[in-house]
Order: sequence, then C-alpha cells, then structure tokens
Amino acid sequence: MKIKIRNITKRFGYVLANNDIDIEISSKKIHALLGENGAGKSTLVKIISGHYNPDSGEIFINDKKLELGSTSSSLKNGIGILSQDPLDFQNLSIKESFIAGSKKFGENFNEKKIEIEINKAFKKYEIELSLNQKIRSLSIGERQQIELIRLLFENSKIIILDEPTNGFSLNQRDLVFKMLKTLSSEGYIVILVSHKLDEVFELCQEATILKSGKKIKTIPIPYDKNKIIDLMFQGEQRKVIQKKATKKNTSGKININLSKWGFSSSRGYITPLTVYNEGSIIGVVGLQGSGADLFIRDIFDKKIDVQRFIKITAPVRGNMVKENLAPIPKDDNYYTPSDRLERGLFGELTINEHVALASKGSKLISWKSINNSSNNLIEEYEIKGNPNILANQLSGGNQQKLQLALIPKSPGLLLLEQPTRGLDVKSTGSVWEKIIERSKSDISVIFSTTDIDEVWEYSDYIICFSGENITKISSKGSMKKDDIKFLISGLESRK
Amino acid sequence: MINFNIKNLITSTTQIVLTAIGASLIIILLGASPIEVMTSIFDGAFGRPEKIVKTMLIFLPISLASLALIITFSGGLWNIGIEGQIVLGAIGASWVAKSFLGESVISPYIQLLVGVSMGSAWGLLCGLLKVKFNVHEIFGGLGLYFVGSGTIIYLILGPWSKKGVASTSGTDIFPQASWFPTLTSLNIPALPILIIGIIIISIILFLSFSKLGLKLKATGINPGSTNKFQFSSSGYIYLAFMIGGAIAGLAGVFQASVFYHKLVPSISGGYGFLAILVVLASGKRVIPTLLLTLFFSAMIAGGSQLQLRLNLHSSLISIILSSIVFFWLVVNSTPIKKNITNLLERGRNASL
Amino acid sequence: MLPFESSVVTIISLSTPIILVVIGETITEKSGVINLSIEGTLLITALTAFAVSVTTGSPFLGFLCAGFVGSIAALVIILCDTKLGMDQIAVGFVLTIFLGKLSSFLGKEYVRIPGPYFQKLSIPILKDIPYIGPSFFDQNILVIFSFLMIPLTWYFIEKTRLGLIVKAVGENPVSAENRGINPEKVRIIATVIGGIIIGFGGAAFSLHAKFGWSENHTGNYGWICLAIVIFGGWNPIRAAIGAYSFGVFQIIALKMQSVALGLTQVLPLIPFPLMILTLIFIQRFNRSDRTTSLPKILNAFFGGQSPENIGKPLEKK
Repeated sequence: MKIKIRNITKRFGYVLANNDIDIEISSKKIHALLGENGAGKSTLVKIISGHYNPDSGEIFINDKKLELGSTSSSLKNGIGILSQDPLDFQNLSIKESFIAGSKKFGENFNEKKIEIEINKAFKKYEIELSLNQKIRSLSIGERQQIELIRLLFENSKIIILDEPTNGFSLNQRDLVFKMLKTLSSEGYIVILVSHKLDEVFELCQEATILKSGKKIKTIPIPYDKNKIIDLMFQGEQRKVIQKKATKKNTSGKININLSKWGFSSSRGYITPLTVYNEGSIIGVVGLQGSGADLFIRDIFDKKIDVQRFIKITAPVRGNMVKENLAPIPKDDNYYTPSDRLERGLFGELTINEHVALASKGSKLISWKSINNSSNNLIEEYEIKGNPNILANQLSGGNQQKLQLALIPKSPGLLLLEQPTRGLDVKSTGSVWEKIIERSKSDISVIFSTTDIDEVWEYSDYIICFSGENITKISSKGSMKKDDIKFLISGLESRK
Repeated sequence: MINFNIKNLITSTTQIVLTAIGASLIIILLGASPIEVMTSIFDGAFGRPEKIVKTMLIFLPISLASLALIITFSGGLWNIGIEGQIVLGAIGASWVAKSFLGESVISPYIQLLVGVSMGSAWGLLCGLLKVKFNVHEIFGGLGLYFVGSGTIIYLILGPWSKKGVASTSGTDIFPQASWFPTLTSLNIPALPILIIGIIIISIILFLSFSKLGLKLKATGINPGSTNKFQFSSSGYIYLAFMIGGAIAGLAGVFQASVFYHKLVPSISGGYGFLAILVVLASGKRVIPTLLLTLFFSAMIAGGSQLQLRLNLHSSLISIILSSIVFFWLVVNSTPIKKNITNLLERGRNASL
Repeated sequence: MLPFESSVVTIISLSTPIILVVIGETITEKSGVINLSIEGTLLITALTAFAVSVTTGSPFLGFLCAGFVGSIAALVIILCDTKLGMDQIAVGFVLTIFLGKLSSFLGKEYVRIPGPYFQKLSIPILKDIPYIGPSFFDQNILVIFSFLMIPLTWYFIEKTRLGLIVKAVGENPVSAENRGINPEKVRIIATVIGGIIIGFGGAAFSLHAKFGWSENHTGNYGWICLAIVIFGGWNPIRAAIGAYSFGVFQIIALKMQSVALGLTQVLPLIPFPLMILTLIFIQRFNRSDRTTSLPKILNAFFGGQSPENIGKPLEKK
C-alpha cells in the first residue's frame, strides 16, 4: 500500500499552515511526522482525514485520487485517526461506542454477534474490559487502545496516530507499539505524529520533518539525533535558562506525609519530603491523568487535611527563628491551572479587566491606573498583546504568562499545573524564565508535568506519581533521570 | 478611523432596514398594513400629552425589568423567573396598601421597602435553588413564578377580595394615600422617574467602574476561574439574583401602586418576558436597552389604538416586537453580518 | 365501578399531550439541541389542529397539520443554530413569545366553539379488564398513540443504530464526524422529528385532553414539559412517568375543588409549582456523584445523564 501527498497547501487567514507539502509513505515502513507545535502536523493530519479541505494539492491512495475535504470519503478509503484526545463518547458503553456510526454491522445489528466479535479482538490484544462499561469509567490509555481496535474493526488500512501516547502507561505503550509493528508488517500504513524523539526512534523506520508548515526533509530512522534537532529547530536559538544557585538559608518548610496518596510504610524507601530552602522548585511528574495534577489542585483547594498530610509552612513574618513556622495562609497560595481559558482566565475579558480583578484594595476601579499597571506587566512578562485585548485572543504561551503576571507580587506558594502544556519550545523557554525569576522571591514553586525532561531540567526536588500513588519523593541530587520513567509508569527500576 | 466608523454606521443602518422589512412582512402576512399600524401606534403613544404619560407609565416597569435582566445576564443567568419577582413586588406593595399603613402618607415608601425586599428574596431563592440544589435557573425561576401567580389569584379571590363579591378583576382600589405622588394635572409620576434615573446611573457605575460589577461579569463569563482570583462564583450568583430581584420587585410596586392602584391577576403584564426580548436584542448594554425599551413601550401604549381603529387584536404588538427582535438577532449573527459587510464593500467598489 | 378506576383513566387520558411533547423534546435534546419554544409551539399547534379540524371536519387532518407547524418551528431553531450560529435558547425564547401571541391573534374566531372529536376505539373483551381496559382499550387513537410512543422511543434511542447515532451526536459531535456521521444533518433531522411530535402533542390538547380553543389555551404546559424532560434524565420512560405524575397532581387538584370551595380557582394552578418541586427533589439523584451510593436498581432508574454536548453549537470548520 502507498499514500502519496502531493503539493498540499492550506492557509488560515494569514497563516500558511501547510506550504506545498509532498510526502510519499508506503506500508513497509512506519512513518513519523516530526515537528514542534505549529509546524503543521495537525493540519496535515486533518487534511488527510477530510476535516479540512486544502487550498490546493492532491492525495493518492494506491494511485487512486482521494476526494478531499470529506471525512466519509477518507473513512471509505480506509483512513483511521487515533487523535490526541480519544474521539469517543463519555456516556456510551464500550459496545455502543463501537457501533455508533459503524459501517460494519449493518442496519439491523445483532448484539450478541457483535459482542462476540469485539471480545475476540479484545482477547487478541490482551484487553480485559466489560463491554457494558461506560467510556467515562476508563483511563485515557484504555480509551485509546479501544479506539485503535475499533479502527481495525472498521477496516482502516491507514492508521494515523496524532500524538496519542500521552495517557499511556508504559505497559500500554509497549502493547500498542507491538500491535502497530505487527500491523505494519501485515501491510497497513502506520503514521505516527509526534515531537518525542524517543518514541519515533522506538517505532519508526522513516520520518518527515516539518517546520512552519513546510516539509524540511524525509530521513531514514535511525538517524543522528542532534541533526534531527537541528532540522526541527533550524534557525532558532534555544533559550538556555539560567539555573539559579541553590540558596542555603533555611527559612521555609514543606512536609508531605504520604498516606493520602497510597504510600505504604512497608515500601520504606519513601520518606516524607522536607524542604528547607526558600525558593525551591518542586516538580511533580506523572503521566497524563495521573495524580500529579490532582496533587497540585488539592493543595490549592485545601481539600486534603492540610495539617495532617501536607504541611507547608513559612516563617512567621518578622521572625526568622526556625521553630516559629506557621502554615502558609490560604491567600498566599497562588494557583494556575493547565486549561487556562477553562479554569484560569475569563475568555471574554480584556487584560485590563483581568488586572483590575487581581488588584487589591479599593472597590472602585480607576481604569487609568489599571491601564498603566497592565502596560507594565505586559512589558515585564513579555506578553504579546495590548491591555484591551481579550484573553481568548492571546496565544497559549501569552495566556500562561498572563496567569503568572496576575499573581500578586507578595511572596507565596506558587502552584502551577502543567505550566507549559501545549506550548512550543520557544514559549516554554520564556515561561520558565518568568517562573524562575519569580521563584527567587517566593516561598516555593510546585509544578506538575508529564514531561520527564522538563521535571529534570527545572526541579530541585522531584515527586513521582504513578496513577494515584506517589512512588518517589526525593531531592534531585539523590536520584537518576533514567529512573523517572519507571517510577511514573509503575514499574520497578530495571536494575 | 472615521472611515471605519462610517462603515459601521452603514452596516447598522442596513441591519435596521432589513429588520424593519422582516417585521413588515410579518404584519402584511397577518393581513394588516405596516404603515397604518405604525402610524396608529405612534399616534396612540405620543398623540396627546396624556398618551405620553401613559407611554411613560409602561416604560417604567419594562425599563426596570430590563435593567434587572442586564444584571442577571451579566452574571450569566437566564432569569426567566423575573415575572415572579415582579409579582412578588406587587404583592408586597399591595400588602402595605391593604394594611393599616395604607392610609398613611408614608405608605408609598414602606411599599418600596417591602416590595423591593420581597422581589429580591424571590430572586435569591432562585439563586439558592441553583447553587445548593443544582436546579437550572430557568426551571427554578418558572417554579417560583408559578407559586407567585397562584398566590396572587388566591389573594385576590380570598383574603383581599373586593367587598361584596370576589372577582378576577382585582382587589379594591388602594386608598389615595398609597398612590405615588404625581405632578401636575397630567399625573406625571415624578418619584418613580427619579428612582429609575438613580438606578440607571448606579448600574452604569456598578458595571463599568466597580470591582463588584467586574467580578459579576467575570462570574458570568466563566464561573470556573473565579477562585483563582479569590472570590466565589456562588456569592456573585446570589448577588445578581438579589439585585435583579430587587429591581424587578420595584417594577411590581410601580405596577400595583402607580399604574393600576390595585392588585390584578396579571399584574406583571408579561413585561418580564418582553424585557428578556429587549435585553437579548440590545446585548446587555444599558443605553441601547433604554432606547429599545422606550420603543417597546410606545408600541404597547399605542397598541391599544389598534383594536379601536383597525380592529386588530392587541396581541399584534407582541408579535411585531418579537419578530423585530428575531430579525435583529438574525441580521446580527456572524454569517449574515459578514455577508452584509461584504455586499456593502462590493457595492462601494462597484460605484467607484 | 372499581375504586379509583375513573381517576386512573382520566390520568392516562389527560397526560396524552404531555407524553407526546416530552418524547418529542427528549429526541431533540438527545441530539444536543434544546427546543425552548415549546410553550409557544404548543399554543400555535393546538390552534392549528383545532382550526383545521373545525374547518375540514377531519380531526386527523388537524393532527397532521399541527405536526407540520411544529416541525417548522423546530426547523427555525435548528437552522438558526447550525447555519447562523445563533444561541438556541435565545431563538427558542423569542419563538415562545412570537408563536404564543400569534395563536391569540389568529385564534379569535375559534374561541369556545364546538368541533369534531376523535372517535373512541373500543376493543371488545379487552376493554372490560379492570383499570387497563378503560385506560387503553376504550380510548381514542391519540391516547393509544401516545402510549405506544413511549416504548417505541425508548427502543429507538437505546436499541437502534439510528438512535445511537443521535445519541453520539449529542455526546460528542467531533467524534461523530470522525466516524463519517454528519452531525449537522443528524441534529436537523432529530430536531425536526422532535418538532413534529411536539406538534402532535399540541394537537392532543385541543383535540382531546383540553378540547377546543381559548386564548392561552395551553398556558404553562410547555414549561412543565421542558422541566419534565430535563429532570426525567433524557429517558422517555422516566419522562413518561413524570408526565403521569403530573396527571396525578392535576386529578388531585380537580377532586379537591369540591372539598375546598374557596380555592376553586387556585387549585388548578397548584400542580405546576408542585411538579417543579417534585422534579427538584428527584433531580438530586441525577447528579453523577450521588448515583454511586444508590442501589443498582434505583441507580438505573434515577441515574439520568445529560447529553455531554447539549445546547452547544457545532464547531465550525
């Protein structure tokens, strides 16, 4: 089998999302589409799947021209997408989700027969789930596995994985990768869209690198990793973040008791964390959907019994004696959620209005002085926008910076839930620059992430989550980076 | 910049013309002449000084209801229960007028106090149902409205019935002392107008310059983000309902003691629902809301002429008003507006 | 006659229009669309049905015309939503007022005049079964139709491929589209079919349950129907039970009139707030966090889930 993409161009307003892209993929090699955010990978996938109609260009499947801009035509030609978020139905059962819109089962379907067929497939791919379970009760990894099997059920011959591995446990990922390799050898076309080099090297034999909507090059895998990075980030300087020197003054204290998170004392090697350094950065790392985000949220909501399970204390003002530590007042907990527009900002309010909301003091608003402070913050945090721009008109990186800018200046505990989620390398760098700058005057920063590189690069202390459980809590100095991936996937370190 | 504004003005004018054409079509379809209907209405609304006063008397409650809805819509709430809040305000006013206070000169002021509090309480109840019991405000509001309209009929036929025989035509007329003082022989309701003026200014200040108002708007846009700014959305839902209910209650007081001088079963006159139409069309902005309310009130005041002059049922007015709002929303929808702008642009280029 | 038999028959009979309306709205909302215009749609369709049947002498023709008018109202809402991106609730509300007043305007000549009835369909032997017989086998076709619609709709939604497609669109239109379903088309069809059934409901008022026409003839019933759908957990069987409970309240109010003379005119109003109150109580079970603590049977009954994407417009390409 072969799919030929010829001169695909797609423009959104002034943005050229795909610029004359030309790729040929055959079933013999698993192909990767590599590139950072905004490189045009997703647009290309949506053109192949029929969601977008390109401005020009053609796609051929086995030399037969594909009708573009029609999802049903793409489906008929065997194109199946495994999307970043599973495209299923929360309130339906697994069985219903298989049947909904299916072309396979015919008008009058026989439930028993369908059940038997699905169960057969589940057994083959080692999945143990009841078909009457509601989708909402499954983990993201399970939902993606089911979606993949469903695609095969629908006779998809071209399987495109659009960065789907975020929610996979290590075990699930191994299973899925094994499955994909088998499929490729059986004559399926498999395309992996990703920016994670490890994954690409593990699964693919070939990769096309995209950048700013253009195809840079198609390369065989394995290939020199440094060269790939050069190609992906051509002409861009990666910001090198100044690591601050660790301070030695012992003025704050964080004490985390782990029983809430399933810590069992029999696994003795986990000890409660006590952090003494003001301005420390604590990274909480776990796979998508793990307890890491919940951990951050719980501290902010004070849902957990703060006194018993996590004691975060700061010096009582004006008194630097270590014994005089008191819990941080609730008002000094500052939290930024990862879904910025849903839970952090107000999409239809301007930057000015956000600044007014965050300002302390008087009940009446002087828009003139608010406008001044907005301008100052925009400059200080390098936000691209003016004070009268709406939050939903800002890019993700600028929304994140706005969230940081709105945090009161007084020192506190910064709780950042996946602060760089969905941001490209450049915005990630500048967001971290701001976080580190702030952290110097703060009691502490606690952030969650799904990215091992990120947690390793920026944290002084690391907390690992596997599912809902904490598996490790340690200062960075006393652990190895390679251990983290085992700790967060629930496997013991392969020593 | 000026060029840009002119373009906007032309677009708006086109929209207004299209809306008028749409509404006219409806009138024609119903077998009447739009021009006859409109002249008749205009004459009925502004023909004589007394008629202007009558228009104003209708303007009072509708504008109050609209202002109340601006507050609740800003908080993201569909306050369909506003009719109930108007009813409760009217009940409150009648209660005072029927009591021993009814004969005293302070009666109107006590009525204001009681009516406003009762309307506000009714709104707050709707908010409580929403926050504490997870009941959507549309249904909580309707339930409370049903209770209110049941109560009013009970009162009119039972405890407050007319001397002699109970009738759905309403209670006895309130004692003179309970009427709101008016000016000149035309009976201009000076105090209510003054009160509305104060409310209008307060609402403009509240929504544009107070942090409380800003927080209310923020709650309306995204209640999920409020705790990151250290305030709770439910507090502002209560606040919106309390303010909205209070203003709606005031409308009820005016209906009872300024317009009818008694309690009648349909005391709200459907003005709450009309006000929802107004605010949907005006997009929550205060000044356009008031202008549109004035237009609506004139239509209603003039509408009584229709029956006499053209033998058309008075419901035609509401039909015209709702079709105006409908067509206005249509011409303001993104795709249509875009088409209008494009067409105008093309027409301009062609003429050049 | 057996105890309460006549009351049971009256309840089944009175609930006929409400059953139809809640079924129509349930189908609509399952696809993710809210048709808020019911209060107005009921008035105009009730008038249509009565006027047509008086003019032509055929109640059946009146019934069909009411369905047609109901579908037009629904079509306006769904086209404003899918083609123009307007708010479903706002359009629904404007239509409520427009259609309601239109019915007053057009209905002047039909106020309190006689008209043709649907004939009763008496089935021998079966009609003599206590309670069931007079309720279902000695009624007109409307009652039987409404009763049959309950299991049919349930079967359609839960057990057929098409029903599943409607549900899928109400849950997640993006996923549905990804599977080759056209969400816009599904929503239009579901809303229009729902509108037809709502229109039938309006006809069932003026041709049966509340025979004839007067101004504001079906006043407040539309709102009650909307509430029953939502609190009924988007399940036609539960919604039907809600409708019958409302019938019970109405019967009680009716019976009370002979006892409490002073309240004659207030009593008919009481079922409305009472119904809302009951639904608020039941709705407490709808919340997903509560259902887990309920026994399985109760859970299946009370654990209604709102369609995930209800009331939200489709994403534009």
